[in-house]
Amino acid sequence: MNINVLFNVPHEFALSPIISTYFFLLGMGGGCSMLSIWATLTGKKDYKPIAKIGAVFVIILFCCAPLLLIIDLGQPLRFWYFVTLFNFSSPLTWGSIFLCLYPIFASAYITFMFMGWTRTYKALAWCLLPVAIGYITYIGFVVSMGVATPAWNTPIMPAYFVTAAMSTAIAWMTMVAIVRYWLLSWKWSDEQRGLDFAIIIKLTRFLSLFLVINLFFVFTQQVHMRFGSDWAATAAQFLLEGKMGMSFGIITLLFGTFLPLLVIALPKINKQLPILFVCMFFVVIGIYVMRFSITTGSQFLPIM
Amino acid sequence: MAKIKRRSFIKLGAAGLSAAALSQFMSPLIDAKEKDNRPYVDRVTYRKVNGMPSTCNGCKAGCGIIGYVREGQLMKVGGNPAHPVNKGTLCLVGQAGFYRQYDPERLDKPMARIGQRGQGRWKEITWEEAIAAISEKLAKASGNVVVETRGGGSNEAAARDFVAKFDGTLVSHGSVISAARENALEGMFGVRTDFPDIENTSYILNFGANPFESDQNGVMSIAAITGHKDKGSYAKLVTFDPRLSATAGRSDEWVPVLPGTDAVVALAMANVIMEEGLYDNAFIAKHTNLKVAELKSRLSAYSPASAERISGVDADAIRRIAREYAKADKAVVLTGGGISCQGNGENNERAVRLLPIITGKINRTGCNLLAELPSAGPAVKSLTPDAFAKKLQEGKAKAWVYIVHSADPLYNSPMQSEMARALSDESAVPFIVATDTHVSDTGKYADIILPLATYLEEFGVEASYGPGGATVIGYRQPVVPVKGEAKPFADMLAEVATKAGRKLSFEDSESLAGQQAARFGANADSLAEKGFLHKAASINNAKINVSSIPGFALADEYKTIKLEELLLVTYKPAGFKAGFTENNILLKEIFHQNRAFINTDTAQKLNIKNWDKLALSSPAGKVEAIAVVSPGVQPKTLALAEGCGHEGFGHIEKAERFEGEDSFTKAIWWGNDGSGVNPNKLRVFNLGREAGGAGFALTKVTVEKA
Amino acid sequence: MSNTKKWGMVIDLNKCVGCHSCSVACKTENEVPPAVFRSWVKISEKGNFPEAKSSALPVLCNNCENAVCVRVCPVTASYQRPDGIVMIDPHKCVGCKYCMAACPYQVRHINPVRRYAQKCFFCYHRIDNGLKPACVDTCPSGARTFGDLNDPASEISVMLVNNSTSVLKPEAGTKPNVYYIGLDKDIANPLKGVDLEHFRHHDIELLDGVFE
Ligand SMILES: Nc1nc2c(c(=O)[nH]1)N[C@H]1C(S)=C(S)[C@@H](COP(=O)(O)OP(=O)(O)OC[C@H]3O[C@@H](n4cnc5c(=O)[nH]c(N)nc54)[C@H](O)[C@@H]3O)O[C@H]1N2
Ligand SMILES: Nc1nc2c(c(=O)[nH]1)N[C@H]1C(S)=C(S)[C@@H](COP(=O)(O)OP(=O)(O)OC[C@H]3O[C@@H](n4cnc5c(=O)[nH]c(N)nc54)[C@H](O)[C@@H]3O)O[C@H]1N2
Ligand code: SF4
Ligand code: SF4
Ligand code: SF4
Ligand code: SF4
Ligand code: SF4
Ligand SMILES: [Mo]
Repeated sequence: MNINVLFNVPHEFALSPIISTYFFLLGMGGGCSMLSIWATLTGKKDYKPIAKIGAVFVIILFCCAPLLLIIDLGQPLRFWYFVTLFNFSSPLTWGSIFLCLYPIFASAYITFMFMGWTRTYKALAWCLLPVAIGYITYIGFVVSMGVATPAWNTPIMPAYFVTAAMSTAIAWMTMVAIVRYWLLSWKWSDEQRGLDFAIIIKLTRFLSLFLVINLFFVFTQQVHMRFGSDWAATAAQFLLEGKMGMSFGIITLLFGTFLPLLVIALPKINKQLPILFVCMFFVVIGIYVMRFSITTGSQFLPIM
Repeated sequence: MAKIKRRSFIKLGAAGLSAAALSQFMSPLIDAKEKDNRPYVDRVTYRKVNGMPSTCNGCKAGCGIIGYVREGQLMKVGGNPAHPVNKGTLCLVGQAGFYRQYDPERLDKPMARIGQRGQGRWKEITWEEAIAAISEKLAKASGNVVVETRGGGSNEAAARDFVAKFDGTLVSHGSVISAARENALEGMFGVRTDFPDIENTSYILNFGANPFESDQNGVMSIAAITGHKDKGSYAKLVTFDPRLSATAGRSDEWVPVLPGTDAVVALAMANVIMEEGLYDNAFIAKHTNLKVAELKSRLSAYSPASAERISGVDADAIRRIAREYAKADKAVVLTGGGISCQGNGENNERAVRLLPIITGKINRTGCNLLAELPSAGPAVKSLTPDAFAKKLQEGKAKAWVYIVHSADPLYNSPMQSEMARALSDESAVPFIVATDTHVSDTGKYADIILPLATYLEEFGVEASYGPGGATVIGYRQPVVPVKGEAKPFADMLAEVATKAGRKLSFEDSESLAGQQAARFGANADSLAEKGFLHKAASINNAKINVSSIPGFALADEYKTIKLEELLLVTYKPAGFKAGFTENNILLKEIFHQNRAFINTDTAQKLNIKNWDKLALSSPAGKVEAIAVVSPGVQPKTLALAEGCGHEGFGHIEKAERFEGEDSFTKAIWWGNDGSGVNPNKLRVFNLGREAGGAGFALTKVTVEKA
Repeated sequence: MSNTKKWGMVIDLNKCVGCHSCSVACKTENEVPPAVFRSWVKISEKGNFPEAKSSALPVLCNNCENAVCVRVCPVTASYQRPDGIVMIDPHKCVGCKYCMAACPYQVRHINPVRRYAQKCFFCYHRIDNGLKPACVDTCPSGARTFGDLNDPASEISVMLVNNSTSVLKPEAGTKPNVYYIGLDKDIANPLKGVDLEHFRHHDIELLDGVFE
């Protein structure tokens, strides 16, 4: 039946690009700390540099991310209400708890790590682990509890957002590790160089695992939505083929997921650092675009 | 002069905060129902506010309004629940009307032109200088004075008095749409207006009226139609309109008709009624000068089949609707601008009016009532706006002093570009005075611009229809003091006339309103108290005199319509009210863009898609508009709403952000949509042979993709 | 049955003429700034020539019984009165817009002047004082009926009994208190009839910094 909407009013975005960026940075920061914790807890000396690089980015990213959250508030000066007024049915309240605990544990962990107090910081890594998990998971809950559009309102969001966060973190650390290798390896011993190179390669393998899980989530979401309500089906189409097709479909999935996976799978190329570097860059960009497409982009589809 | 503090969203907002927060702890302070029949609660103080009754001026419906004022600032205009016309409701224009009061771009000082006409460069002058200048020209004008006014109510009475005293000509916009109808009604029934008793009817036959959006009786018509559902009654609504108007789209039946061909459909219906013996023999014999046999033979030329060929309306539908109408015990015909604003408007009206005559559906409950309304004043020399515009463009206007009041002929007349040329010709129209709240499109060509009071700042009395065709005398009184140096129209006319050495019969808007009230048999003091006087309908029962039976001849223009040529239909959308909505941010944010509606099949043939930019051209000019490909238009029709594309007025009208006193002036968010196009840049004259008003059809527009 | 009131509204789409008077009345009553709407009317046409019909869909906050917006507000600024009206405490709201992301009806906005969330509160200042909401009072067609859903004798309860009604997006589970008579599911579907290429949002940055 032919329908023609002649008048409707425009709306502001509920989740703006600033929030998308916040989700991205927060995910990356949280992911970095997860990597750092992993490196610490597995206890391998080889991974020490990873743990340290990870830690540095935790600090930097943590500084930027919540700032964005505050900028985006209508009443930025009231940001502290988040920790005085609680509503436990709101994922943002859980988020503010994690946002408070996280810097405390993270800074203690990092301080002791750089001070070399091995046992203390290992213990702290155990404490930080659940906090960091909560920290990168809550944004997924925030999105999945947004009933306004079906692209948000799916239960896989928290898990997807976690694996996406991990992917960015690993890709980012790999890029840093590659740069470090390029800059410093001339003065290292052959053995050291070999070790570092092995770590980079390992990281990319590790990344491929997460990329595959990401794909699985996208697949699940697409299947779920396409066979769901009309509205969900349209939203799924919108993400993959519609207005967001260029960003989510091409940049995130093609360049940010399939291409890196292919490169990592191909025996000859997967040891070429420049190529890996570019791939890692694509992964990071891809996840950013994914955050934008799902969080903000979904609102390009009419809600009312 | 008292200066009103401008209403500011922000200031009130701060106080609004506390009220919202407190509300949950507060018990109701008053029981509004028992105290007052027009209560209102101040959102800030949470207390009852008293209002002052007055009358809306958005259209001729004359709805009762109440102005609620806090500390000299108008907070809100609400409907008057006791008022018989609107019973407390208002249309969006009535709701938003008060914004005109506080428009940051409203005129507040008299100005004189410097530079060329149309450049819009002004210097401020005093009222004394302005009045001296005008009266000087008036003294030398020797009868070549024209006052063009939006018409209706006391302001038209003032203009009539003024014109009479200076032997001038009145151009009232009240007559644009009604001239043809008034002439037709006058000739047939001896009344100039009639009242369709929609409320009590069971069948509504609508030719070219759009009561859900425009119409002369405003919200009263809406309530009358939708009210049937509450009463458990049903009135079938059949609408003839080339486009799916708000009314057509909610009618039981929409009959798309080729623009300008309604008369042949109505005559075919009359033919069916006569042929099938569905006419009211007794009524015809007793109340009219018609003969059945003659009617039959004259109408036999208009068979449904021939009507179908001309109008595109299915012959079977014509027969069926004719039977339904004739057989309905109570049925009304509505006629609107769609048929009366045509070159053959008077004939159209007479053709449609034949239906109630032959079926005896006149002056009965639920039918058309020949209810008379008192006229605004004594008859004077006058011209319809389009007829005057034609003279103006031909250089034959004889308007040495041309006073334009609350009207915007440059925007509203056909051949807009010719009109602009005519107005810039100082030898033909030597002295133009615009009296307005804003610098309108026409105002840009004025030599002097005078800031006038709004309807919320002046006195007035006007007569309008109430339910059952009752006469309602509405009172208008200042709800707030006048802004800046503005003056009511009547005050200004009186001052100018006095200075020019001729006294008018009133001194100011208040004394004029008093006189009008007396003329209408009302008392100004009691009107001021209640806001209105509800009088019984005055029904004209004289014999119906049809001097000649209307006919129909297809205009030559129709015989050569090319594929890419469409007939222009313009209309008044809900968000626009002539003379009321320009630069009104509350309305402009809803209605700021007029897209051109094209039938789906036609669009396909012309390879036009929704949202395509179109180049439209006619002998009058060219414009660009955005297409809407729609199932809601007759295939040979291009529908373009009125009310957009003004060149005068302020930033709000033109969809531009600006720095104003209020921060919301920066929130003009529809800049990307633009401000639309003026359909009168395409419209050509279609005055026809009759004295009728304007012709809105018969403009052939060539449509191309831009 | 409890003695407390529960406010609700019925909008009869068979009567509504799509005149936008309610939208404007809401703006003047509540001083809603330009660019945001607590209440608006979506206008569509449906069908093929010449059987096409117009329809209007007035939208406002449903003051839902199961208000997701209240559930997700992190600072408890959104709350529900005992009579069902969903309120926002302007002193508490931080303007995080999460309630806007949660509401399936897009009826909340950040007031561009005051920078906190707002929406239709059923004109509580009027109804607490025995008046009807502004949009109900002004509606020329009488399409809007407002009243106490808990009182079986109220006009609105009687209407709900005598008519078949529906709500917007029942699948969202919000239990709206605004009911529609004659709601066409195609018209209510936000995705139908919209040309996505021309579907418009406020420009992303439009409202930022516009109001100081
Ligand atoms: N919203 C709004 N309301 C108004 C006004 C306003 O400006 N805006 N102005 C007031 C004034 S001044 C007036 S005069 C009245 C006029 O009120 P109406 O009489 O309703 O006048 P229009 O809107 O010009 O035309 C009515 C309908 O006629 C249709 N039409 C056009 N050509 C034809 C035709 O050839 N045949 C048929 N059958 N229909 C045709 C149009 O599509 C339109 O839907 O409204 C008053 N009320
Ligand atoms: N294409 C097309 N053209 C049409 C029509 C159409 O349907 N289609 N309709 C025709 C009809 S029916 C009519 S009646 C005319 C209407 O045409 P006009 O009567 O010329 O109406 P507006 O163009 O709205 O101009 C009214 C002027 O009044 C001013 N004004 C508003 N309020 C006040 C006030 O309170 N005091 C004073 N002093 N001034 C005020 C406004 O600023 C504006 O400049 O247009 C006709 N032209
Ligand atoms: S119908 Fe006419 S008089 Fe009544 S509120 Fe609307 S504009 Fe004013
Ligand atoms: S005011 Fe009434 S008739 Fe007009 S759009 Fe709103 S609900 Fe519909
Ligand atoms: S309509 Fe939206 S804002 Fe209103 S109560 Fe329901 S969920 Fe909340
Ligand atoms: S914007 Fe205000 S009301 Fe909405 S969720 Fe945030 S704090 Fe609560
Ligand atoms: S009830 Fe009041 S706040 Fe709600 S839409 Fe109507 S006028 Fe606006
Ligand atoms: Mo008119």
